[in-house]
Amino acid sequence: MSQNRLEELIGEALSFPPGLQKIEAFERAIAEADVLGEADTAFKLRSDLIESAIFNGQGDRAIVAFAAYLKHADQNWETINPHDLLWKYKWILNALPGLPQISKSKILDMVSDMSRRVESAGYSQRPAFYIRWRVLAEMGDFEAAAADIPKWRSEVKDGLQDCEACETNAEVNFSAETLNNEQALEIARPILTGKLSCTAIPQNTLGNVIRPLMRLGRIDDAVKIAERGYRMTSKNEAFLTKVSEFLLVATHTNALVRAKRIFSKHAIWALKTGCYTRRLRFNSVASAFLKKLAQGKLKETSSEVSEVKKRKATSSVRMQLPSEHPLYQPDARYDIPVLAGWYQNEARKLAVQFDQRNGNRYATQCLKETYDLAGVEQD
Amino acid sequence: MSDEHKFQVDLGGIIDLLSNHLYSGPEVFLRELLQNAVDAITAHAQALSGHVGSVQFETIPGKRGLPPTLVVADNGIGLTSEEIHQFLSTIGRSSKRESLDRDDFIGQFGIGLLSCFVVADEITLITRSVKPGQPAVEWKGRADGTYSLRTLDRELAPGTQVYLRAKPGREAMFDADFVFEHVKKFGRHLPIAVDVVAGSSKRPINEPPPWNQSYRSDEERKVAYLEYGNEVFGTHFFDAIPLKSEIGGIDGIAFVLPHAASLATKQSHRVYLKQMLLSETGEKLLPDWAFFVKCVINTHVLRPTASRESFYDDQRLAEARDNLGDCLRNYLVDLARNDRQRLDQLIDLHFLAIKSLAVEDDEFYKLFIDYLPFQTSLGQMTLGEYLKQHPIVKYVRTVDEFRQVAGVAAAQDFCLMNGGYVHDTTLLEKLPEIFPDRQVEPVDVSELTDSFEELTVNEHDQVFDLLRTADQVLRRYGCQTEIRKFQPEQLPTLYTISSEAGFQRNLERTREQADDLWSGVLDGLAASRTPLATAQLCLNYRNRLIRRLVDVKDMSLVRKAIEMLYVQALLLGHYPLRSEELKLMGDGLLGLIELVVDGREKERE
Repeated sequence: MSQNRLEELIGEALSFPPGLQKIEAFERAIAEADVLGEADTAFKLRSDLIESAIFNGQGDRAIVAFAAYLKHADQNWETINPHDLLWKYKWILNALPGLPQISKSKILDMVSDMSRRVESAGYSQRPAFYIRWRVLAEMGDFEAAAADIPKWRSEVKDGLQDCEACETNAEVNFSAETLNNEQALEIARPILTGKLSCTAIPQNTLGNVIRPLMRLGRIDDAVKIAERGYRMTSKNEAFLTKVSEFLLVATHTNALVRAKRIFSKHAIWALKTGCYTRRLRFNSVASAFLKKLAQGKLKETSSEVSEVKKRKATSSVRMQLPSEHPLYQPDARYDIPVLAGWYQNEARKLAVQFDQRNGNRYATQCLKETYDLAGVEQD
Repeated sequence: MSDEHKFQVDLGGIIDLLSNHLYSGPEVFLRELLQNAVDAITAHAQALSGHVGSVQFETIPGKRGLPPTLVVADNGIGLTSEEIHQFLSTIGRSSKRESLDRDDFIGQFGIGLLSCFVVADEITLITRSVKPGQPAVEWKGRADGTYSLRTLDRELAPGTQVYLRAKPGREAMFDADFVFEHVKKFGRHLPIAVDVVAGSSKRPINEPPPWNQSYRSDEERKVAYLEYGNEVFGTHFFDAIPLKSEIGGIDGIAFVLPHAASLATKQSHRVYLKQMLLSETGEKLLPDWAFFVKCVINTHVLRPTASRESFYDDQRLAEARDNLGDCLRNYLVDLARNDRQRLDQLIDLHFLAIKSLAVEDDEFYKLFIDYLPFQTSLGQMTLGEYLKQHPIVKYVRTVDEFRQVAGVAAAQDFCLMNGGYVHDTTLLEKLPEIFPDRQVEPVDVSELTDSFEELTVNEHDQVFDLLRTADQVLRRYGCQTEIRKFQPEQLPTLYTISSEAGFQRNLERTREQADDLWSGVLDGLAASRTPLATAQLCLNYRNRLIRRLVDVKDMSLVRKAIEMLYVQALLLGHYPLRSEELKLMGDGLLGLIELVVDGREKERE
């Protein structure tokens, strides 16, 4: 009887489109398989869950599943495909820096563990160096990251490396984060012109070039990229950081309707994501947007280009926010300064947590830059 | 001084690559031949307006055991000997690439003729250019990469003839029926006459597409469209919707599937480019929500990618997609206004697609939301039906939470909505924004019991000790205790756990089993979550066993009973047990056995 239930739950999980509901459905099926002692089924389901969770912005759920997945793999080594396992390990390591409660040394320990496993499976160290410099960069340690980049480049590609589009995008991101704006755009060129692409590219790159463009004052280009990028990213929670960058452009250009739509549509992602770096980015941009909204600086419609009507500063607005939101109002009417304050507070709290973990001021600096680029005074 | 060298290209290898990897099947040579002929005719018509083109595929059976031959003849623009050297003999270069406006041509990749080597070892091409003073020429190309070219002193009308003789194993592809079937598949909607000739039989393949024909009534159009859909896809569709978009130069038909489609499926569509079949698995042509239709469309403008399965995802495609989405949306709106019965049938099948659109489109939402079905603890009903009986929409957000409480909610006659399926919570939470007088209220599963019947003051006094003991016992398992009166009486407890608490429970269980490296990571993960999420065990005061427990004075027995009720609730809910809960179950069972044995022995004494 329970076997039928297991099959039903698996069927349900498979029928859902990618997203949180699918992941939760996999979790239900895994629990059932665990209850029944169906270890192999549970292992396969965890494999599906990890992939689904990683590609839909739920890294924390993937991490939990991966811990059990890895344990099973270690106990059944002869039946495991090491290539599959190491790919998943790469995804998981990428997700770790997004959790400020996991220490830097722990993350680097995990990278070393992966590096050992890569070696014993007979692969080159390319994926290990790659992950290492990327997690270091995500934690704002650009010096250490830069030292690893040449080591990464010198290792051969033998099947565990990211595709060329993704590797190029990682370099775009590194240049953007280290404020080498023109270099970032130059490296991004084959992606922006469509010569290099994969399932996640150009989406990620379109988000990654926004700040370089804005810093260089190329706002028209940023607007064009943001429109194209938003179209391609607005349905997948894994792109929350990129969506936040497109919201930043709409805020900078005072496009009220567009910014409001992006904010209210994706607020739920930020509340539910298991990646706190993404949440921080969204909350930073959201608070910038709301501050400008409260100051009456945004235009009535995004198509109004010629004349910026100075609207009277308003204190409340109607929009749909998810019921999970701590400030949720059933009548959909929100006090903007209160909302703006909440987002600013959340962003600051998170930035401090990240800075403590990272041992630097990178997260706070990013927050400050967000306000600068949006055109808001930070109080 | 440096020496210049040239790559040696192994043509055989390239052909193998093309036939096995790039082309979807060996019959593709027919498409490439047809395409070349059509492009040559298009070019001829551009040079000479009023030119009427035609193409002929003739199959000739081999005599005296020789293999069969295929001759493809067109009255297109033809090639000069110089053009032949330039284009036919340089792989990858196409006469269509630089000349004229390339948008007028179907083929773009200049490797079409090579596909003939998949079925023949030699290609003979006789052609005469329309340019004045050009003689007819004959080109012979061989699969080993060599070719010869000679001028013919025959008078020929402008145009091109391609001769192919089947190589061993490919004879079946030169069969007249095979050729007819495939040429028709690729070119049936072409505006240029194409015939397949075998002996004295001459079969035209052309049939104008139904969207180019005129009908006396909408009804007649629908019947014709549905017949066409049945012929193309072998399905009796629910309905057929005309598609049109100026942007992208698109005409076509969307067929509504006669069965429900899952959200996870991607429909593939049959796509014609300038009325020639481009792909039977076209994607990205319709908005994501339109997974309830399969389409046949023709585009004059969109640019295919090299794989030919989809189009460049540019602004033009995005706008065309929106326009096609509008055609479908208008159809649905029209049904809502004029044919409710038909709309209900359609919603029965395709409410998932309609919900997906309602999420994105407020006007559409306004019109459709009351007709859309939702799962409730009292069965499936539309939002309109729900609102007739209940002023406030009460819902839980996840399927898991719904399953925990649906049965009990139903037993109290409490109508609770399941917001856990895709889009449902989003749709419900949109309600007050679109209709300010309507209210929705998310229900926390643990709070649901608040609505159950309270105990009297006296009863509360009686259960005080039981409740306090239960709380002491279960707190260490992250579970609070509550007591209420609810149906069904047979149920001693109701265990509820929010999805956040469920995740933390799962995390905890994984951490117990992980090695040091991972348990440290999981600790970090646990520390980043809200710490207050707990589960709840609500005891049912109507249940006989619980009432008996109230009277038990031996608190160690009460503790054991509570522990076992907790474990039983977890097992009933299919929750994997954490190690301490497993221990609880083991100890509890042993304790119960001991109690029974002790009892028996006391009886005997």
